[in-house]
Amino acid sequence: MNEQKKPPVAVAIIGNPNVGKSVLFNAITGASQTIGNWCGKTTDVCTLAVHYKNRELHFTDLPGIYGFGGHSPEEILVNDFLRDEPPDVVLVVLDVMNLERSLYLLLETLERYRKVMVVLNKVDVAREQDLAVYHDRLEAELQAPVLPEMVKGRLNPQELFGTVIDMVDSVTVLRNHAIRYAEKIERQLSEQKDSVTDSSLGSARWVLLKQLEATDDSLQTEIISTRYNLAEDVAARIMAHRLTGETISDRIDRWVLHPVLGGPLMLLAFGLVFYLTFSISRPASEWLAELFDTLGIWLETSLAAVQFPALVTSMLVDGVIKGVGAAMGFLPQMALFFLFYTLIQDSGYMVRVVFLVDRVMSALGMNGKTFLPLVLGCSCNVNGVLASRILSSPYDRTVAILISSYAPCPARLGVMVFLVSAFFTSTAATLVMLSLLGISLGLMVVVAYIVSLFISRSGEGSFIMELPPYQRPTAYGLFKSASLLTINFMRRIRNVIIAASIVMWTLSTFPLGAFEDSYIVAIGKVLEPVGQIMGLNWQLIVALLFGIAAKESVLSSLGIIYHAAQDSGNLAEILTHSISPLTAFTFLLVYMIYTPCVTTLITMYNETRDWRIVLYGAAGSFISAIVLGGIVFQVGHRLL
Amino acid sequence: MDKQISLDSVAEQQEMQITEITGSRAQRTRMLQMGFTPGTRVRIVRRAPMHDPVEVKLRGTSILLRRDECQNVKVAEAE
Repeated sequence: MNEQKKPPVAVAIIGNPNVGKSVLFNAITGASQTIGNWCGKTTDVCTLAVHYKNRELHFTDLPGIYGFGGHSPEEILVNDFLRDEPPDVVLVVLDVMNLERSLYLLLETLERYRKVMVVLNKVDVAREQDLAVYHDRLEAELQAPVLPEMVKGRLNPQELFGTVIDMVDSVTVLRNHAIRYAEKIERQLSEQKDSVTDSSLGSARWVLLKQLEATDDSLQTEIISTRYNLAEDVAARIMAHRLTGETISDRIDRWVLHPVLGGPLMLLAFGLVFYLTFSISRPASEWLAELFDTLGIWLETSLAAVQFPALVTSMLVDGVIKGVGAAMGFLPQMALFFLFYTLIQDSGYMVRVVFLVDRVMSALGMNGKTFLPLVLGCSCNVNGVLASRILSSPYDRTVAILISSYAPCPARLGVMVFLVSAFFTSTAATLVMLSLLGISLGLMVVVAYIVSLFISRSGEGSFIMELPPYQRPTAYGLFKSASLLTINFMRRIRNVIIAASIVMWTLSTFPLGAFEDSYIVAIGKVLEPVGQIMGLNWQLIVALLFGIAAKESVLSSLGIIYHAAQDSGNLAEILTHSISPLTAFTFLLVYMIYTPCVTTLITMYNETRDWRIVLYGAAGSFISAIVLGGIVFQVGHRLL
Repeated sequence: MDKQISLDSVAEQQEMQITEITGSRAQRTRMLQMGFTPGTRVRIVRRAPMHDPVEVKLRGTSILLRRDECQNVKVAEAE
């Protein structure tokens, strides 16, 4: 056969935020012909390639927008994408439960592009509420193919692919949908008609409309109002509106958003998430740690049996396997966390949380949406940094990314609880823990303030957003996105963890001989003068150096340095004899803030693609650790 | 036409009609595109603890606004 290969068809998927584009994307992914997917290097735009009847279809999922030409980061991203990579077909996802707003975007899309198709979403939700949807009227009215029946994400992808191909191959010349505007606008449009031609950017008429909108506020209001009036008309014709009275969502919100009970209920919900994350994941983590231990021992003995160089074996076993094993220990809680994260996000609860905490957070110089990265940062700083994606303005996002690295993660808390209980008795111990946590909260506020000096808080950081009705996420969708998030995360940190493990192994192994002569100890001794400001000896500094790779490894390295036996009771005893409670407190303070772990730092880079953020973040925490540690030690030293 | 006031000063559950959107260009564009067009009916559903942000009903859906954004929505008594 000598069939000519036709070029791939680019389909851009657009829609309002929360319209269910990801459900559609999942449905397409579920089609067996998926041949690949990739995401933009600098943006969150992802493309999925599928095979259909010898053709390649590229679906790109764009962020949610309300119209073209907006000023929010998402809208700028969509505009840039449509300009740089003009789509062959635009697929608009409509939410029948939010019809007017959806139709507004569709109408503008039809003015701009000729090859537009529509997927009607949440038809099932409308049915449940006895709302009839006449999608065939929409098709007749707008002359764009409409695919209804997105029942629980089970749209027939074959039908969708077929419609796309029909549209691309169609020989009939499609015309843009033209809306009739007020006389003064139409006059200006016809006056300037010859200055612009139809292009891949969009129809000439649409380009001219955008120019008018940009030059005059009252014309902008007029144009948008006219489009909305039409959207109202169309909406009234395709859906018999009977949506009055209180919905289930409204009834739930009377409790969830209650002025007094809303806050406590929220704390209870987050408490439950943390409890479940840690209690369920612990056995799995222990099992994984054991598995890697066994793997290490097996590798060591089998390599020794074949006369493999001992040094390379040590690098593999004590370096790579140990490091990867430590990271894999976090995998179960990471996966569970992503599951809860998806649940909170998809059910619609996240927006409610933002509503409840925004006032308090903005008093601290943060956006209400920052609360989520902050809380999630307490499960693992990496999670906090990842969750910062929900923030759109540069200021809010930078603050969220930087402060989530100060959140007390379980790795830190484990070490802190161990050392605090070794040095202090019950009441003092509680006070010490609380004051440490209080200091880290104070630092977050300071960080927000410092960021505000460099990045303007005003402008694009608008708050306005929809409060969507609650949704029951499907188990399939939940597991699908949670596992995807987990796999992507592991893929991204894999190389870093191996590299960091090898570096730490090299520093503590060479020059060959006793640990006391190794490079890392030498570095610790060089840094001792700085440490002295905070009352830290080289042993504690070396422990902190190990903590950069993984915060929890501070304990095991203290064990090695102080020659403690494996059981931790021994280490506590040795430490209380070697250092004073003041030094212990200063050490804990420095430990808590001096840097997030390497994995967090790498995630910060991955999320921002800006080394300066990572550098400033790390430098900021080092400096504040030295300053605070220095003050506490020097003052405490003179008082006690 | 009735005298216009800002939405922020309206009591909860009282139905009003939008007359004008003020504020920065970016914010205005966003609000207009979300359907805050002159003539549209709007009412405040509830205010968060400490009266900020505010939940409003518009075009059959709920929208969350901060108080300062609410102040840029000018309204008059619904006809």
